Formats: sequence, structure tokens, C-alpha cells
Amino acid sequence: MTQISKAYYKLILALAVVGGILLAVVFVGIILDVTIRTVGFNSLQWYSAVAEYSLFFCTMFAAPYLVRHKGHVVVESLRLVLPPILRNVLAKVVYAVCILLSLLFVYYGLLEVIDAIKTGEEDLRSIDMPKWLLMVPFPIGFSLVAIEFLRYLLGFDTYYSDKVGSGESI
Amino acid sequence: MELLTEWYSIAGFLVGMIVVLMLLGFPVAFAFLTTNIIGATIFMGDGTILSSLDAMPLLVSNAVDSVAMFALIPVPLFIIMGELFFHSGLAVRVFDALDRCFGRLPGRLSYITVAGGTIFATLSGSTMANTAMMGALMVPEMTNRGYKGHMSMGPILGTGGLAMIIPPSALAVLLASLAEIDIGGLLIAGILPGLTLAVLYSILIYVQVKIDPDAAPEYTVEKSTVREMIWSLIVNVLPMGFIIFCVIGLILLGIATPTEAAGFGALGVMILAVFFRVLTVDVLVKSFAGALRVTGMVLLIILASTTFSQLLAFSGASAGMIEWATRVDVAPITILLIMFGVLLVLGMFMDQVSMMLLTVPIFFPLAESLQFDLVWFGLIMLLALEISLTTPPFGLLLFVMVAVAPKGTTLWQVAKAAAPYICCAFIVLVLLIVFPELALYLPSLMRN
Repeated sequence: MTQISKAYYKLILALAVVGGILLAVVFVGIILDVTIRTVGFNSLQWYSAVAEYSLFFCTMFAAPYLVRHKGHVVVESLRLVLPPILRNVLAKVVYAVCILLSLLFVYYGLLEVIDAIKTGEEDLRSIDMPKWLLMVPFPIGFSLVAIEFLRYLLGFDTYYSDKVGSGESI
Repeated sequence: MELLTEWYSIAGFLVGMIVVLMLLGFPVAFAFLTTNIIGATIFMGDGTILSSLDAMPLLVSNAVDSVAMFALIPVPLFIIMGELFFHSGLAVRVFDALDRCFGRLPGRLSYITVAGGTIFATLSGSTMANTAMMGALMVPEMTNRGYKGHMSMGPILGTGGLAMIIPPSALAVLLASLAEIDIGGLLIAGILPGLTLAVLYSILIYVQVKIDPDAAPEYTVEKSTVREMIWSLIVNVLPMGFIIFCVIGLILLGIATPTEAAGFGALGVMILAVFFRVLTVDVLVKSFAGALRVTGMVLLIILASTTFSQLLAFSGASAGMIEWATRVDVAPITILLIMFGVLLVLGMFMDQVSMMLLTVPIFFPLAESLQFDLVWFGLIMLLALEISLTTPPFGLLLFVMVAVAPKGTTLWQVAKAAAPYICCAFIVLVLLIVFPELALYLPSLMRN
């Protein structure tokens, strides 16, 4: 069990690392694009599409890691005035709803992927990309998010810090 | 369902549901997703669960399109820039240099905080990071020197929020992208009001020290010669001008778009870090990891909230509200102040990104129907967001400050320290209403 959970954690960590690398790609790409354009060559046609896809991919790849490390913002102010028992029950309800929502998105995301494979549909931007490839991170990300919330539901950990204003923002 | 026929009941239902779910402890992104599904059931289907499932493919494709958007690229880039700036230690060099230059001026550490915080605001896009960094750096020093709470925490809370207004501001980019207004215009519009606010903070410190000199006791400062001061500024502060040029200069000169300028801002910090020999693999890893954490969180909320604005439009709430606002016999300024007040109330318990996503689809069409300049309105909204960060009982900056302040500091003490600085922000609000040029002059230069 420990081996599986370690391997599983490595998976969500690896996905987060890929997300970080994609951010680096966005950063390096924009510098290259402007530099190439400034010295008189044609702009990198593929860059805008790659950057847009990267934003979506890194959102989905970082999502399970952020659930594990309590990185998605929550408001804890009302919870704190509740008695501990009610607080725990409420937390379990929230985890259950989050699992349900995530599974709904996994299911409908998969349907979209299958449909895109069947029809061979392409996402037309500055580069044409098979739509299924664009959609694939969606069910992957949400299925791992569902597993992460399941960990909380089963009592391995709690998502809440039980402190007000503990969330991160910009 | 019969109750949900008027625009106000629909808008109240949708907004209320998100607020209630957030208060129940749902992660913000999931509060939006739940509302979207329930809203789609009621307003896009026939009210049955099965009909809500019909809307799921739309929700899925909306989700992808909402974040795979070029206009959002400056958000992670400005966050990378700020993270690099903090993790490389470049930020501390600015403080060290300013520390040499302020001599024995009464309240010097408070002034240093305002000056340093304003420079930070132009170098980092993150309000939270700004406040946490300045709090950790300055509060212990000020406490050791016998500064009273309002002289140490107040300036940090005030200038921490400046990062939201003075470019580069990741929140300003996000707001402009969501509201589909000129990103460069909104960024540049923040310069003069932001600097005005910094000047008002300095005047406030001067007055506070005059009224109560013991609040910021004088202490012996190692004397620096003019030559040492100038050298310190040239070595530690002047190079930061390069970063400011990379961002603001390139936009103002029309050489780069805000997106490109964001990339060059991050590159500028990297070049400086190499120059000062502080760029290490560890700094890069920490910076990109921090940027991924904030970007992933923000983009998932955007992904989750996209359908919300469509629901408002589809259900007739947006159109009904605009019709009401244009018909009702109330001065536009009153509606502006109501919107400002709503933001302040929301800010008491909600983070800034969630507030934006909740209010942009409602406020911007309203502002447009009232014929407000949308860049000006965007800046007013940023100012409200800034103030709401320090509004008790749940303003996020208050908690950041409690976390870095000396043990035993209460939220009430922090809120009291922030109050005069909030008043300064209200003065800027009045100035912006009376003299919109304060915000719009620089963007007009850019357009010409």
C-alpha cells in the first residue's frame, strides 16, 4: 500500500513538474519570439498556440498537486464558528461533492476525447492540433483531483488549516 | 422556480449560491463549478437533473477555452518575475540601499518601508508576496527599534496593496483579460494613482510622527557619506530601473505588448540576478514552483467560473440589470459607489481573484451602459480590491501581517494600523472620480 501511495504521489508530483516546465516553455518562447521578430525574421507562428495549450495543460497538471498541498483557495471563516463535529461533517460533504463534480467532468471529458478521436476533429489555432490531445489532460486532471479528495474523505488528511485567511492569492 | 423570473432574483440566486458554497468551505473553483451545474439545470434545461447533464459538454468545452487564452499569459509571467525577485534576494538589496540614504529622519524605517514597498510594487506582481516579504523584513527591525504597531504594520499593509495598482500587476492583467479591456492601458493607468497613494502614505507618516514622536523613536544610525549613498543607490537600486524599463518602458514606447513585456520583465530579473551572482538552480526551481502554485490555483478558478458569466447572460440577469441601471433615476456616481461598496463587503471574506470572477460579468456591462471609461472603471475596481484586502474582519493582508508580526499581535491591532492607510486610498478614490485624468492621462499618451 505504501509503495502504491508513494508511486501515486510521484505521479502527481511528476505532472506538477511538467506543469512547471510548461510555464518555462511559455516564458522562453515569448523571449525567443520577440527576439527573432526584432532581428528581422518571421515571428514564431506556432508560439501562440503552444503557449495557450501550455496554460491549459499546466492548470490541469497542477490541479491534483494543489489539492494535495491545499493550494486551492478556501474561505474558512464560517467553518471556524461551527462546533468541531459539524465542521467535520461539513468537510466530508464538501469532499463528497468535489469528488462527484470531478467524476462528472472525468466522464464528460472522456466522452469529448472519444468523440474527438472518432471524428478526427482538430483544434484550429496557429498550429492544428488533434482535439483529443488537447482534451486529454481534462479527464486525467479531474480523475486525480477526485482521488485526492477521496483521500480527504477517507480521513487520511484534512483539506482545511482551521485558520482564517490562510489562502494564497496574487 | 417561479420565483426566479426577475433579474434581481436570478442574479441574487446565482451570486448568493457561490457565496454560500464558499462560506461552507468549498474550494472556490468547486463553488463555481457546483453553481454552474445547478444554474445550467435551472436556466438552460427544463429543471431536471438530466437536462443539466445536457449542458455538461458545453461546460467542458468552455473550461478548455477559458484558460487556453493568449491574453492570460502575462499572469504567470508576472508571477514568475515576482517570485524570481524575492527568491534571488534582489529585494533585500533595495532595502539595504534605502537604509543608507534616509539618515536620521524621524520615522525613517516607516519611510523606508513606503519607498521600498513602492519599488517592490513595480518589480513584483503579487500583493501577498509583497506584504509577506516586507513584513518579515521590516517588522522585527521596527519592533526592536521601539516603533509602535501603527508605524510598523501600517506602512507595510498600505504599500503591500500598491502591487495591485502599480504595474506590473498580475491582478490588473487578469481583470483586463476578463473584462476584455485594454491590458496595457489598465497597467499604465495605475502608475500615477499608485505614486499618488505612495506620496499620501509618506505625508501620513510625517503627520503621525509629528503628533506622536515616541511612536517612531530616533536611534543612532551609522552615518554614510554622500558618496557611499550614491554608490549604494547606483549599485542596488538603479539596476532595478532596468526591470521597470523592461515592463513599463517597453509598453509605453509601444515596442512590446503587455504579454511580451511581462516576459522581458522576468528576463530582466534573471539578468540582474546573474549580474549580482545570485541566480542559482535552487532559486529557479523555487521561483517556478511558486509561480506554478499561484498560476494553477488562479487558472482553475477561471476555468471553473467561465460558464458563470454565460449563465448570467442566458438567464437574463445581466440584461435586466443593465436595463434597470439605465432606467433608474439615480446618478451614475451612486451606482459606482454601490459597486465599490459591494466589492468592499465581498473582500471581507473572499480573495481578490474570486471577487473579480464574481463581479466582472455584472459590473463591467453595467459600467459600459453608464458610459464610464472602462480603463478608469477597472482602476477604481482595483483600488476597491486593494482596500478590501485590508478590511476587517477577514482581509487577507491582515492575516499575512498577523503571521509575520511579533507574537501576541492581534488582528484588531493590525486592522487599526491599516485604517489611516485605507483613508489614503479613499482620498485617491475621490481624486480619481473628480480628476479621471489621473488614471487616463498616461494611457492617452500611449494611444497617441
